[in-house]
Amino acid sequence: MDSKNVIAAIALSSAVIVLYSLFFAPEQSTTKQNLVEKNKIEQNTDTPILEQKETLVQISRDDALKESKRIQFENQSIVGSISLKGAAIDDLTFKKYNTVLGSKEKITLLGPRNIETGYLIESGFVTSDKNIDIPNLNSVWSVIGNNKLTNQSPIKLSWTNSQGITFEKKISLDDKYLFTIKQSVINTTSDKYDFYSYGQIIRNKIPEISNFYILHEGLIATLDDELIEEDYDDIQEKKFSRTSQKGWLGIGDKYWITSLIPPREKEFKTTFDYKKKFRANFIATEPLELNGNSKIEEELQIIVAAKRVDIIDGYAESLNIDKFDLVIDWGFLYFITKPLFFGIDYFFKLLGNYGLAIIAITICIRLVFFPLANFSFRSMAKMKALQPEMARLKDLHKDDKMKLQQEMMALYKKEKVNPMSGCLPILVQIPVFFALYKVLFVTIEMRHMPFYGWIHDLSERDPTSLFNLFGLLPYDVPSFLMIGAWPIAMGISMWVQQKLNPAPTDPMQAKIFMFFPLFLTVILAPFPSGLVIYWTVNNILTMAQQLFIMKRTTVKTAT
Amino acid sequence: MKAINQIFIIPIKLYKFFLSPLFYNSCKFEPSCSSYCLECFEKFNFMKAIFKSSLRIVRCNPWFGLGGHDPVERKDRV
Repeated sequence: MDSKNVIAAIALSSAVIVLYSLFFAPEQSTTKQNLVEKNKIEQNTDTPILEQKETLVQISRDDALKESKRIQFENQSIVGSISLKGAAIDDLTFKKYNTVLGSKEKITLLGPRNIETGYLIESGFVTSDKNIDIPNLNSVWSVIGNNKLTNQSPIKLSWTNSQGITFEKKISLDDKYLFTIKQSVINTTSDKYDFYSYGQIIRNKIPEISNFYILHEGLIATLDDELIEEDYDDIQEKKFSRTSQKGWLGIGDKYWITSLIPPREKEFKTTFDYKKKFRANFIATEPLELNGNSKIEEELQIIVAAKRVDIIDGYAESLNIDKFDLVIDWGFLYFITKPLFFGIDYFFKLLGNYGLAIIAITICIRLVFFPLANFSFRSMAKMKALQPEMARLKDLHKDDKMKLQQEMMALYKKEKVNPMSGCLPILVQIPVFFALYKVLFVTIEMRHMPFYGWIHDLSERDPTSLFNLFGLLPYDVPSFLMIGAWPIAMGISMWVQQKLNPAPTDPMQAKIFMFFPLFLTVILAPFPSGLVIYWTVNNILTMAQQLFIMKRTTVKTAT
Repeated sequence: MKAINQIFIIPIKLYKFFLSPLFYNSCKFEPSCSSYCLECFEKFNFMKAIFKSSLRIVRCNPWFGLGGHDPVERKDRV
């Protein structure tokens, strides 16, 4: 039952590797950017290759925002601006999420392209026709009409080239995190052109990532029902590219997602690559034909969201985006993790505290598994009752293993029990506990949620430390000595629970076993306190259950 | 030759040493499921080992059978 804990701990401890690759400030030189790169050899020589020259000079965010004219947007959930130069969404702040608990500073996700943390989304049309101008990242668009984007008022941007072709973008915003861009090209000449629509997310730098094997952070997509998860370092080594009929793509952090939803019912090619910057883009594989004196139009969606389950699932359903719910890293145990989340959410709404909800769901799971555990603990208790007899047999036949085995069998037969319930009941419980662990680790719903006492944020480590007597002594301790009260409670509960079982016979194993609670306490100290609370409660419940069954069995044997 | 079997052999060995004390004597067979699976992967080809191991774990439940001595190879049977 605690196996999930232990497996996870061992795996996690080995998985904690610092990934920050040497990431220098953006180069001061001119870099060539293949905006949308088609593999020439591969196929489709018709599809365009677009190269843009870009000068990167590192400046501050405020200066960068002042550098070009902008159009503001705001709704209940987000606030920011769109740069008229390049018509990119490159400034976005979540109004409902603070950077740290208690601070008034909000999470800012997107940033202009020429700052270190640049992160932006652009879209448009490209063409393989070298004779016409298309808007690039330096084109300055003009605003037509309304000049603030809100959920009630869309905006319209326009840019006309020297050949008399006008590009337009109608951008609308809902009350949460969805931008809908209706982009069109209006041809006033009599010539015929082919255009390919595209969308692109650019991120200059790998963000601060938690880098646990249990959680994917990086470039993500579902293409033709298949989930693609690429880490930043994978993409630095090797680009990813695939053509598909449906899906979405984006870049996901632990709590935030930036995603593009290409026009529906149209084949597109997705590329993830790294050329001084990370890029996630799609380009239509079939062109839209623009005849003389006519117009083409295409709609794509951009979702820049906090990964709340209700909102993400809401978009997946209302916009009919294929597998968009996988934005949240439910893992391969999706069919268990998701129901568990809804369970926690139900208790949260009922009890009003996320910590209590975690405890409630743990109790529920234990109740469901009680019949299985009941059996195994009952046998464990019986085993204990047979212990003296078994010890005697072991002593008697310590040189003859075969004989000992036979005697043991005879003993079981005589007692009409097989004292063991088997491995299967334990194995079936492991996925469920692992799934619960995963839910607690990945969902934003636990972020900045308080518990009682000193826990103000269940998604952060327990802030207290044994080494300054939980804050009684007037100094701070370095983070590796920050072993909080909850991790210690977890260690103690585990130790006590172990005491209820006989120690392993191998002396080396017995020693390791003894150190397990201590080891786990240290490993778990920096983990989200919500997880540690769950773990502690789980240990206590295991113990209570075991005591309960042992007591019952003893009574039965006595009568 | 059976390099692929190592995929299972190594984790089983790790499990046997570090984790199995946590589930004190839950297996109803002798040799225990982990020893049994380990032996399978050491002796047989991958598919056969997977098959025999899975069967064994499924058999190791509280509802059917009495458990007891159940070696990988029959000739050992007492």
